[in-house]
Amino acid sequence: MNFETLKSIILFILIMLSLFLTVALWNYQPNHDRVEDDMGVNTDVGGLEQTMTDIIQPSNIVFHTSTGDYGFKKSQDEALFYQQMQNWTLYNFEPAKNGFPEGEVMSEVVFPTGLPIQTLSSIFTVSEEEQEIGLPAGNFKHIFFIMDESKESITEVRFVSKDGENAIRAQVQATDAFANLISQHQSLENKQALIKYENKNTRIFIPKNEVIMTDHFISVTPLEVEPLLHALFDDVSRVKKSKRSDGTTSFSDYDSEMIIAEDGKSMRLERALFGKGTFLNNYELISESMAMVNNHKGWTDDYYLFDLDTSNHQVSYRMDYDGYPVLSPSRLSEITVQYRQEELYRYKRPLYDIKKVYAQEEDERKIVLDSGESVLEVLENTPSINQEKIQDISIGYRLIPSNPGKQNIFYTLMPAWYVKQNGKWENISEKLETIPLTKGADQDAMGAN
Amino acid sequence: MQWGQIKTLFILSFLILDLFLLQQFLTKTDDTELEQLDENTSAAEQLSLENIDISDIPEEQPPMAFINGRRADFTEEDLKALEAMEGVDPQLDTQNPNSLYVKLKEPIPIGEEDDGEAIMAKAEDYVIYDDQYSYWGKNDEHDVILFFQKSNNSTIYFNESGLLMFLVENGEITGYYQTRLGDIEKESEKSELLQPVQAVYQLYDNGEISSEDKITDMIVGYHSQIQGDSNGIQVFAPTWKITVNNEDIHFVTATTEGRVVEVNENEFITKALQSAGIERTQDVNQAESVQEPESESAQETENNNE
Repeated sequence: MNFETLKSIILFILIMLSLFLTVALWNYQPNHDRVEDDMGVNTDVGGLEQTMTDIIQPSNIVFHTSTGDYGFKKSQDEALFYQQMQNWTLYNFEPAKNGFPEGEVMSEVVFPTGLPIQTLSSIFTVSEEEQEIGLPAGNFKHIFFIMDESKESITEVRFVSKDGENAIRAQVQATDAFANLISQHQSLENKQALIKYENKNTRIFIPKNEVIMTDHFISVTPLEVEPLLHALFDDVSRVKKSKRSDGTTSFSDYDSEMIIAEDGKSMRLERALFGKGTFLNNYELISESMAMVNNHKGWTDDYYLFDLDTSNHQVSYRMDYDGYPVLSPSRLSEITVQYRQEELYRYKRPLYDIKKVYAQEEDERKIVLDSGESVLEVLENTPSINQEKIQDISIGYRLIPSNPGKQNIFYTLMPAWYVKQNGKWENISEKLETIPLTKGADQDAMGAN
Repeated sequence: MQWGQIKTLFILSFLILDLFLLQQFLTKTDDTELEQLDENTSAAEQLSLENIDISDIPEEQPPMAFINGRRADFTEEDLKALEAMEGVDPQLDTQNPNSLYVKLKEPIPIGEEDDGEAIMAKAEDYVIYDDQYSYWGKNDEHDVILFFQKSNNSTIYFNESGLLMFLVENGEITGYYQTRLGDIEKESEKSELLQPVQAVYQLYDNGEISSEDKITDMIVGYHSQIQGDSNGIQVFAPTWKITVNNEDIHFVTATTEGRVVEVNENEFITKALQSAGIERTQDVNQAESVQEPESESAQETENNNE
């Protein structure tokens, strides 16, 4: 072997060594968090990820005209119009005098619950300068677009809290905003008349006349538990499964326990509290809980932000079907996330996904719901209902299993009138006694919100 | 230039490149090792700034496995062994054979100064599995003496399913309540533990200790925050028991994130007495005070079953 060949070999070895070292340098990862960052773990329960814009939807859009209050007949129309509104730019925020505006030509957007003002930049377009200055503190449940027909403009946008005590005003900047709103005020053929119910806690609009709806047959598929375990526990290999004496199934490690209902259709996670910390504010409650659910793609059906319970640090998201909330039973229709200090404390949710509509449309029965007028009348004359305690009145669906007491994959969604008192939604169809189809159905035991 | 000369040049440049890369690689490996040491030093520095005395804490803790187990039933043999003892009156609920309530026919007097060993020496003839429990302490408010079950010489702190609780009346042991964890399994893989300095730092960070405090004792045991159903499997995490100034006891999970565990001894005893169905005159007040959370959790279960 001559000297040149030796040099070639050395050169070759050096090149290889340099390649090897480069790769080694790139790939070297300190082995700190070996389990949690495991990329191969499936934490996808099969739903979607949602943004705040998706999850916050109004419960009602009300057009206050000179001839009365009107709302959309079809929820699809309402959703479409709300989508248009989201492009409007808001600016010039300032505190305003409290109370609900009255007697003006205006459009009102009502949300299911009071929202912190920070959510505005997710709902509408808020100019960048405005966001830099920071929005005035507060929360709102109603948004009023107050119009001046002679000037053909929206004079003011006002955000008012649930009880009317807190108000913020702003200006809207959109060329078509006024034209859009006023045309809705003028074309009433896709609208229905609304009637107002008001007490010191709340201001509600419900359909004045009878509402014709249909029931729906649905089939559901269970969610897989495995991805949820991976998402909610630090180390799944440590989690132990056991059957509890009440028939539920428990998965637990040393600081968390997830309990799955006997029928497998809902679950409840509870975590132990460690140490001390500050509490999350309302906006953080929404964003943190959404991030937690997004993390495992937990929005398995249409869920919308429905209740924000500040004193319990709890956020609820309700299942929605065809534009109406599913209001009972809660464990099958509500995702509830509760925090204790900065940490997740409880997470309750249904464990199924609405798979498909089971029957053809023509098989669905027409259900005629009482007029809002008679609902209000009945409420007034029902001694068990304290007028001052009414928090909300709404049409919603009730999930009725096709096979009571057994494992079910088929359910009926039955529309009915509901009243919310003490944080609980109650089906009042029995009180109204005019819907024969739900007659004799068991009293619905509702979960706390 | 000649090909040979080019090769020499290449060899030189690659040699330099390789040396550089090698040096980079080594620093990167060192860094991560140093990081942990650094964390320990900075925590120790912070603590010494506050004059928190950590001279007595253990230096380093080797990895330790998590354990799990479920509450065991007392068997026929256990009962026979008990019946063979003289002076005991065992009461085992056949519906619920996983807890034992034994009355002593002759109360055992105990002295004020008696420590765990002395108490157990007097009581061991009346207790089965007595060597599986280690002494925790006396609670004067409820007049009980607590022993916690051990697994491989590590104590399982405050678990309702691994408890030996002597009931004291007028300085005499009149009986005891006992539960036992069976089938204790060790996880096959050991977990890195939170190092002692870090655990103390967590206490400081949570405001549980302040300047001039001294850590007088520190030992690893097990604890579970989830006690769940009485027949479910429980998972126990290695947990630091840290004694401050010889009086305050704190728990910090020895898992890598290290979190301060809140334990309330009086609540624990009240709950244990309740589930044992033991009614004692002096506990009436406490029993009422815990009624609320109890009923709330009952409602919870109801909701889940609707």
